[in-house]
Amino acid sequence: MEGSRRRRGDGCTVVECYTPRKAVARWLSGLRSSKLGKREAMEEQEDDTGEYRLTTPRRCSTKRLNESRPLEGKLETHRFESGSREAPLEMGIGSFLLYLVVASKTELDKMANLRIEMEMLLLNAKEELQKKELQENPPMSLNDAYANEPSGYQFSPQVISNLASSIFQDSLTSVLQEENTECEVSKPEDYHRGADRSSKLQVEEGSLRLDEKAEERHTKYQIQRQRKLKDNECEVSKPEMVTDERYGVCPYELEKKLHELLETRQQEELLKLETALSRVERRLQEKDTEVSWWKDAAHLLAQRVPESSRAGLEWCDPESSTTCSDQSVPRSFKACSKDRVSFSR
Amino acid sequence: MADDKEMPAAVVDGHDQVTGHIISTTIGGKNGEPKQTISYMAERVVGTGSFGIVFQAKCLETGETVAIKKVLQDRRYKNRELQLMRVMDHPNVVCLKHCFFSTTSKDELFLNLVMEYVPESLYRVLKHYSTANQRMPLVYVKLYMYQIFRGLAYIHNVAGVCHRDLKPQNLLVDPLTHQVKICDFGSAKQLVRGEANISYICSRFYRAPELIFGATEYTTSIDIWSAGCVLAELLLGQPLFPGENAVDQLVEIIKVLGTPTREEIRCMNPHYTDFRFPQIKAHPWHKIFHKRMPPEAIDFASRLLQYSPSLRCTALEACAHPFFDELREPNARLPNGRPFPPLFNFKQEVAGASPELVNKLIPDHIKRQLGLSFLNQSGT
Repeated sequence: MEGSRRRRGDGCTVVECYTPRKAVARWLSGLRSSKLGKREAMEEQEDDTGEYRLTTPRRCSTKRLNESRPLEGKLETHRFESGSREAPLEMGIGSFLLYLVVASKTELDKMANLRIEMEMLLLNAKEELQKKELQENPPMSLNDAYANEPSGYQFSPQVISNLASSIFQDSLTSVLQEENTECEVSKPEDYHRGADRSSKLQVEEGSLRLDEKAEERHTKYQIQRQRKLKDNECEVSKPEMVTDERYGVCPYELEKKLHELLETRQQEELLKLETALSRVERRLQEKDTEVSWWKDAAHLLAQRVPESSRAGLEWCDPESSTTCSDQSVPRSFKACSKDRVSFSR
Repeated sequence: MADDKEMPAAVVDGHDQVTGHIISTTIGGKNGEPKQTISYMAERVVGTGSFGIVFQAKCLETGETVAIKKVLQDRRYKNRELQLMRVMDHPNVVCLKHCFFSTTSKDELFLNLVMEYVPESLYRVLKHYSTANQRMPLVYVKLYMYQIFRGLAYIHNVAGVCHRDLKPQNLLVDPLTHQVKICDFGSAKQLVRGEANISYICSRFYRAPELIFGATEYTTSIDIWSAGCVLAELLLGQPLFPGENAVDQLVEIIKVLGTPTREEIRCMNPHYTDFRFPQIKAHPWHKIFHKRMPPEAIDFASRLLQYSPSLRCTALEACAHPFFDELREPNARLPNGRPFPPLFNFKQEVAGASPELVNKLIPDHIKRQLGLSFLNQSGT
């Protein structure tokens, strides 16, 4: 009620409206033309010129109508006794139309809010992506920190030698103890696989360097690994194979791949949100069109109403219509802009 | 067939080409037993690999069809696969009938493992369904998986062996009886607590994450992971984790299970706990399978495919899972009306299991039958 229906200092209720209210406005204009002078109407419009310019409202004053309130009961009786039933019917339709417009407006507001929320969400997602990119390409200082971190590959030489010897343990003991030992004739593919895997890994390691920083870290890791192997060269007969058998996946490569996965997932999410946004925008557009249709419908109806209502109003006492207008139009409405109409109960 | 399982008594000459070739060997001759000649006619090659070759052959004396796995033998060592297979005796593990050595012109020594022949593999069965654009009926998924776990329970608990290469290609299926047998013990090993083992084993799609992380002190739970992958593949019609390489394999796992927590990484390989991996959200299990997938199937898959090896259920616990309840119903039958292959004739594999677990494993109607048979025996 607050925004659309204002009580003026003189006790009049000012109903502000845009096109859909034409039905009522035109109907009221009949009253105005008979009871109020054109000058008064002009004065009222000039009272609030700022709003007039912005919203181009047409104000319908109920001043006279309110003033006639003491006669309400009597006049209404008089109207219903003698007036035609056409006017209330038209007003009913008008009200119904207004109600529909109000409903559309609520819907529009909700969609506008949703759009704002979606835009915020997209913005956040983009920021998140940017952050991730930054994380993937950290500044030099971060790299140093990485280098100082205790690496999972920094096994002690003792551990390396133990692990390495355990691979060949079977074969060594079996050679010593001839055929009496439970020994492993390892599947040749284990070794082949190992070698294949080593070459594959090397190829992957080479091809998958995304940026200089990652490469730098990777090189550091490689150097570390090779240094460790060099240290144990005397003890381990096949250091290359040992690394392949003993070490799992390269953690940096895994990290990189997981970052890629995360990015892909976020992009998918982004795409999903964008699709949802465009869907909402399309619905918004549809609703806009629908509203304009309702406006047109109301406009057309308004063109018909004055004639019929005027006939009725001309017939009945002009003062009596105060009651009618106050009771039959229970909702106030206000034109906010040329295209947007806001209503409230 | 116990005599047949003795060490090879003869070295036969052979050629590289196997098809159509007749191989003769003698068995027995020890402890006063009569010597017996057995001849096999090689019929067709059923599998090849870096290990060697597997061919289908017919025993000329008995007419029995067998599968012969011929592997290059290093004269210095004993063959681990042979050692393990000689002790295996379970309806869900392929049976070794006999073995012999053969040499070639290049003086290479080959070991021939003569095993029972099972015509189909789970891989081929799966392929059949996927070619027909169909899913395997759930009753077969249950039947096959149950037998796989029963076989695993045996090799883990009784033989103390870890298969280390469980995959549909190594699971044989009899198309008539629908009996499943675990085969190919070429990667299998008796795991000893505290001893390191190579981590580069198992076929990629079925490798447990700890193996990809390079763990060396793993347990038989790596077979449970592989079995979980097989279950998911039977339910989905395609591999659940189809990685193109080791890292990619881990990424595929992470896509489903999410990034492992620090604790989970510690359980798999403590050397990786210093790394901070990007946090990938887990994909809910129910979204991985189709909408009508029974919840117990989803629950079962999730219990097998756990990062922490200790959290994966054991093979025997898996057999008792409600997913297999349908198999324990009194009137349960194959879709063609025939009875299921024997599923509840447990022997050593339940030794050491809790009474509750044994109670769950043996359905009431089987218990009643056993009770009746005991009564009959005591009556006679």
